[in-house]
Amino acid sequence: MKEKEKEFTDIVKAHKNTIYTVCYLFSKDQDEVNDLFQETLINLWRGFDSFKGQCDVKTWIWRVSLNTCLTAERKKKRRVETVPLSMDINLFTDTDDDTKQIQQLYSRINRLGLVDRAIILLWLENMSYEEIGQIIGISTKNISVKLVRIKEQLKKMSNE
Amino acid sequence: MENKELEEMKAQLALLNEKLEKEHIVNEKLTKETLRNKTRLVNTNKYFILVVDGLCMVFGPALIWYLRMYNFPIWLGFLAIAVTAFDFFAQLVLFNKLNLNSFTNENVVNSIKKFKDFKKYHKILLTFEWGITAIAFISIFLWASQILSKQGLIIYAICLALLIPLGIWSVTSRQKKIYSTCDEIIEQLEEKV
Repeated sequence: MKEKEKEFTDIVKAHKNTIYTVCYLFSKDQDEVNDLFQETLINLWRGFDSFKGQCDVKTWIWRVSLNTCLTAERKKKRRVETVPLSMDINLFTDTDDDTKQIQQLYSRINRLGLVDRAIILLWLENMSYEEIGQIIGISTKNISVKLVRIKEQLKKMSNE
Repeated sequence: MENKELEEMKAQLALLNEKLEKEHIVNEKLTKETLRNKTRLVNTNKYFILVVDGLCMVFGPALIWYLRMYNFPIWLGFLAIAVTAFDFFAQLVLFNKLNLNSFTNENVVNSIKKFKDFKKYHKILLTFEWGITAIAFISIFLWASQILSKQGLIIYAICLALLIPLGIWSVTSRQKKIYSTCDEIIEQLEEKV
């Protein structure tokens, strides 16, 4: 059990950026980020045994993180007690220059629909259409059509 | 869409990744548990001192009254009890005011300050205790030299020569462990700032 926990913790540490980025871009405030982060870790842990060897770790992490955020319901209580892992950062209230840039990214992406957010995020991470399709669960052709629409939407937002 | 804006978004995402890279996943529960265990050691010392002081305060007057028959100066006896009482209440105030167990409910900066203050005031109290103990032993030795025979005095001096180093070692090693535990706690808390 300890070995499994160590392996899981190592994977989570290696991909914490991905998990946190997804949770941040799908949240409205710090509490929601923390809730989604905990929820994602729970889902990763639950699926850890069945995932092994089925696909690339990175793909699995993306898939679970995005699915968790896309299907999350607002919880009234925080689940801090059940999963003891967290990150001590607040991108909503920090005021340094880097965070302001990040908040600009957040405000752009946050105005998109949920699935569109997932697609543009994966595209910004330089993933191929095939990879994006694999993670989201839609065809490559569909991805390219959606991306065109998303880029038009973002262009409209920046002209407003 | 303009390439410039896409590039901007990619750069902003890279900034986000850079920022997150510097953060650590913290196992909050384990960290708090480790710190709580360390604080337990510091608190154990508190109970030990309070029990010793308490026993001295309770049995001290009876012992002094008994030793009065051997010309033991009463003023010295009651001074010793007064000093013990002062130490007892000073320890109580120090531990209760700083309340090291509550650090898990406070912000990190306050917790660090608490442990640093605890170390500072405890050192002052300890210096005071060493001073009083030294005076007490010298006074008792001078009193003993009046009532004991030469042989008795030699035996008494030998006993002191054996007990004093043992006492010093016991107290200093315990204090060293407590202060190094405080330093470890402060270091662990400072990592979170």
